Amino acid sequence: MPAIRSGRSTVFRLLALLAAMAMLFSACGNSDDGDDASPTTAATDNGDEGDEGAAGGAEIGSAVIGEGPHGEFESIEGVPGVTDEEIHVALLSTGDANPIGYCLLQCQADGIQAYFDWRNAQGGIHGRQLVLDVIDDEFANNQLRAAEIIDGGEHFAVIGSPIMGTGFIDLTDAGVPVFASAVQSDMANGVNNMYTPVGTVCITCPAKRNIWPVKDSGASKVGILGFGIAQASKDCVAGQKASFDKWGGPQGIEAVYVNDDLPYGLPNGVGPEVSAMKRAGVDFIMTCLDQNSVKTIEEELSRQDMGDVPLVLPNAYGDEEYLTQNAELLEGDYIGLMYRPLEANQAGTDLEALVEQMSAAGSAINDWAIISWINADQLFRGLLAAGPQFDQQKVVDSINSFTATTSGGLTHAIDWTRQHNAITPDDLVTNAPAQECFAYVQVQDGKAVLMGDADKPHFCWDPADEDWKEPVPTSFAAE
Amino acid sequence: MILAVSVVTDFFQAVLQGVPPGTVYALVAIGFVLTYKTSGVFNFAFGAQAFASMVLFHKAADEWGWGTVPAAILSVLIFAPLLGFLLEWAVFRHLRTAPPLSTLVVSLGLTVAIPSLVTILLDFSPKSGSSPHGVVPDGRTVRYDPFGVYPFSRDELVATIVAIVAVLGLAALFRFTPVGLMMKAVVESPRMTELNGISADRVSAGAWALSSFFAGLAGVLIAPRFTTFSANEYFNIMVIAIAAAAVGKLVSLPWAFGGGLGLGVVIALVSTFLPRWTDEFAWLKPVQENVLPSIPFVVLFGVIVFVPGLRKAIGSSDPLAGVDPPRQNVASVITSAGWMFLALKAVLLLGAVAVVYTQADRTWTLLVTQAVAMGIIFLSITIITGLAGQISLCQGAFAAIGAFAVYQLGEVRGMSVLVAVVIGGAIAAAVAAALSLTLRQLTGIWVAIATLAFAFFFDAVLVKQSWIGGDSLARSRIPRPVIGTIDFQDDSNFLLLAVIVLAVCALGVYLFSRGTTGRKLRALGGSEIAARSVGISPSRARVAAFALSGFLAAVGGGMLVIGQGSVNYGTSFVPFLALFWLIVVVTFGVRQPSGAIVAAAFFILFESVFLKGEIFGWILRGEDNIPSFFPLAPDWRYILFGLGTIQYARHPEGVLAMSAAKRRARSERRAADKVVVDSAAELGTPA
Repeated sequence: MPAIRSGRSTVFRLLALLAAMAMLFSACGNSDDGDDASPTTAATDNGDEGDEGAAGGAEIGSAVIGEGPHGEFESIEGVPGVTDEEIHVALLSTGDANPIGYCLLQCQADGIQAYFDWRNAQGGIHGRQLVLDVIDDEFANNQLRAAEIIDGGEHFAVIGSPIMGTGFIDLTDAGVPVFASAVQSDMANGVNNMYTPVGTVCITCPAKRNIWPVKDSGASKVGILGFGIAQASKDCVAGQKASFDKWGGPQGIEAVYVNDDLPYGLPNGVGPEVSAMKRAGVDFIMTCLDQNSVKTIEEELSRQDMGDVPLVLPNAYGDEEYLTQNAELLEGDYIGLMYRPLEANQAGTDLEALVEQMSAAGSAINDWAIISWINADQLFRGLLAAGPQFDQQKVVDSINSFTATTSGGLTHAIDWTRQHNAITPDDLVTNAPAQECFAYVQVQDGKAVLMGDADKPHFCWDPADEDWKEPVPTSFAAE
Repeated sequence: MILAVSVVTDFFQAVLQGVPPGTVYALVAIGFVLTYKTSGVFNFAFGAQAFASMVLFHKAADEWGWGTVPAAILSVLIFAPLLGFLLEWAVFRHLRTAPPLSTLVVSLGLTVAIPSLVTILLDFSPKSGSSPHGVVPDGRTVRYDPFGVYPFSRDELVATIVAIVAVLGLAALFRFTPVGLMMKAVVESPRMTELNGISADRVSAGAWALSSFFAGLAGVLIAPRFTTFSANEYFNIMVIAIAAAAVGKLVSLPWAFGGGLGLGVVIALVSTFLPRWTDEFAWLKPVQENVLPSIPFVVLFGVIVFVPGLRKAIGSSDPLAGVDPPRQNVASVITSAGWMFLALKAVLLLGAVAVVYTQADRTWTLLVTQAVAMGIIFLSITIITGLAGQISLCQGAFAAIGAFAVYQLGEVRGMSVLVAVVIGGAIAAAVAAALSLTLRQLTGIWVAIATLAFAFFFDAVLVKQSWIGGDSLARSRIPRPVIGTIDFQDDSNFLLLAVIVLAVCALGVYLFSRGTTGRKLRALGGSEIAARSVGISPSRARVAAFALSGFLAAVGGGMLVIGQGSVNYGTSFVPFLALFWLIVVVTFGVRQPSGAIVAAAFFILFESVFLKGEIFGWILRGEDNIPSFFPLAPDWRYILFGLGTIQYARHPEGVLAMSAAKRRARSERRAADKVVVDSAAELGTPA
């Protein structure tokens, strides 16, 4: 029988081992110690090494791109995802495994494919066809799929907005151009080869656009709702509150109820929360929630005779089924858009092509599809500006030279020489676009109805202006 | 006066607002108690059964166009009882004399397997904008306001009425009818019941059908409360409902009903009267943020820990329990694999690592590194479950503590990440030890439930604290360590480091299990009474096991996030996922470190190697040769491992040890046959 060691000496041995490990590891450092704390970037400074390919880059960013052919063919070797016939682009997003049930993967694929089909019909780019490879990260495997993309060397760029973009950092570190959405702004901040449709956004910063729908509805007391478990939702609430704190007073608007701690799924209902809003006199509600939760809130508002209180809806644009089935509940609600609405005049913009291509494919034209179309357009313009001997770095340098790109009149002008860095709550100007623009539609009889001028649908504000003023109706369509 | 009237009105309104969610908790709690009373099984899978019926109801009503009533008949009256019959016949009938822990593990496996199976078989996926509806026409939009204070929807009224009828009807069934008496008798003593001429199998089958029917009914009635079709929501409700059921000591239907309603009302009252924070009273924010979400789990924890009568298990007073010879308590057996066999395993492991280090691309290096880190986490389960015989359902929380420690100390404060791993381990060990101290009077399933309550508390309250989970994990870029001149930024180098840490941890587990505390834990597992009689203190030994388990989980969590470069709590450490960890480790062998390591390999690599068909590509030499029906849905991982727990009750030693035992038995048989043949040959007689 083996000798039984004293239990105390075993514990001391373990403690000693721990202490030894701690001393050993305290002699160690971390990789990249001494470097500054900002995220590493894979791209060089804008345009310094890409002058050849970036010739005419800035102009291409804002130009109206005609029927084609686009660019010139020259044989290229050693560029990931590029053959003499094709340029492969990966869509990396979340399919059916996403717990919220959003149409992410399919809807984003529809938007990108529609754009690629359009350009391919015009002859493609640099003599090559654009090919989309759809990759589902199955919610939890984004980093793994990103590693496969990097290892495989078969994709030139990545477009997509998944639920958890854990692999996007690896992709950008590997020099892959990545086109995501405002949801990934935190990740994109300061990263020179990661793009979003309207520049890197600061979610916690005050924004003038938040004041407009409240003023339009004649309301004065705002409630703001968000989830406690999701940092993005809490950040959204913080940004909206900051907007009313900064600009609400002179407009007679005040945030009287702020709740960024709702449990996800609303298992306890929202009866007490709505009652509290009722007691506070809330007559307008801003939400940082998903569509289904908003529906639950609308039902509770209706139950407590607050059914007329308008809300700002999330992500519902283009979801005709949702708007129609819940027409009564959503009557009078607003939907804010960072791009030109479909309900505006489409002449002089690529909206016409978007609608035509997506309708021909039988695809639903919704928020994610439009965002993805814009991303695909940015990539295309970068390829065009980079010239026939393009590679990933040259495309990045080209896009980073665009000072006023609007994706064919769909968005306000984005200056990629500045807008890789987001504005901050203390500095709303330096990295802001020339104009902060937003469009609004309102739900009326189950349909989205444009607010404002159909020819100038963007409501724009001057970021340098300290005060809130009525927005300037603007269009970014070609003259 | 006006203020007083206003307060009274608000109070009354809050009470009424708490009734609909309280009814949901009550319905699930009643169903839970019903299952426990009629089968003696602590059926975690009740929520999964409810989800299955709900999914079938919606598929039939919305997609197949059957209409509400036929869909309800199919899902509640036909499918649900059949599912109950199947579970009883295929699974729980064979576990009637199994220890409660075994049936708990099996029910956890079913919790994971059933939703995935239903999702695949019915081709179901949640859709944003489409939320569940009830069985009643216009159930959401037509409302009634009997008190003139707060209107109830039709769905809510129906659910409340059904809950009231159910509790009265079931209480009467058990109190006044022979059927109810037989059900209780079978749970208490199947043999005694058989001796009285009653078929225990038949009664048990009927009991399961009844409780499963109730699961189906609850699943369909409570669906309109949810914003999405999600199995996780049903599981979360289960955990809250256990708190309600615990109020009735798991056996009282009226108390379970009251507990559920009470919980809903209390939450509504707190939500109404808790002062709201403003900029002027910013200190209220943490109070407001944390009180509400913590209520169900604090109640559950408190009831379990402080209500002594709760711990008496049904069936523990069976007078015929001693008829069968006692099962050999596996915990009391020290199996020794032999140094040669251990050395062989180590060589194989090192060989595999060498192949990956030299040949693998980034993807596979990343995968194997994750498997190694998970191996460290799974070793924590070897300690707490395999050695100490406790089921801890909060290993995910401990692992997350390690991960967050690396983030907060390593990234935010610039400390060496490896030191942060050790500190995180120490913090988790302290938390685990403290938790264990509060649970020292509990055993068996109560430890499991209490740890589950802690896991959910951690998830709902602690994770979002800025000093724990951080303000913005999306931005996290956790650095790799540097030791001397070796920069572990290189993925292959980091893999080697992770393997070394795993080896050290595995050796530590091995030594611990053979040291004094380990032997004490084995003795307690063999016979606690005997162990106490020789002066072994169960609480001290278990505190040590919990602390070491917490330490290991945190070290594994820290290594995992260093490898990944960021903290992904939602995909790596949530309570539901941690349940699955236990299931996987139990399947492969919870009593040996090798079981944990193999389990981790399967957990991480199963999807890539098998579900995506990679193995066929390797065997058939080319990705183009992979059969077209691949890739299979990731859900199959949950189904296969979940159903695999069914064998746990018969073979708690796990697949690896079972295989080894079979091999040994075969060799011994062959050796014995050889002796017989040789002897016969010597004697010149036929063998």
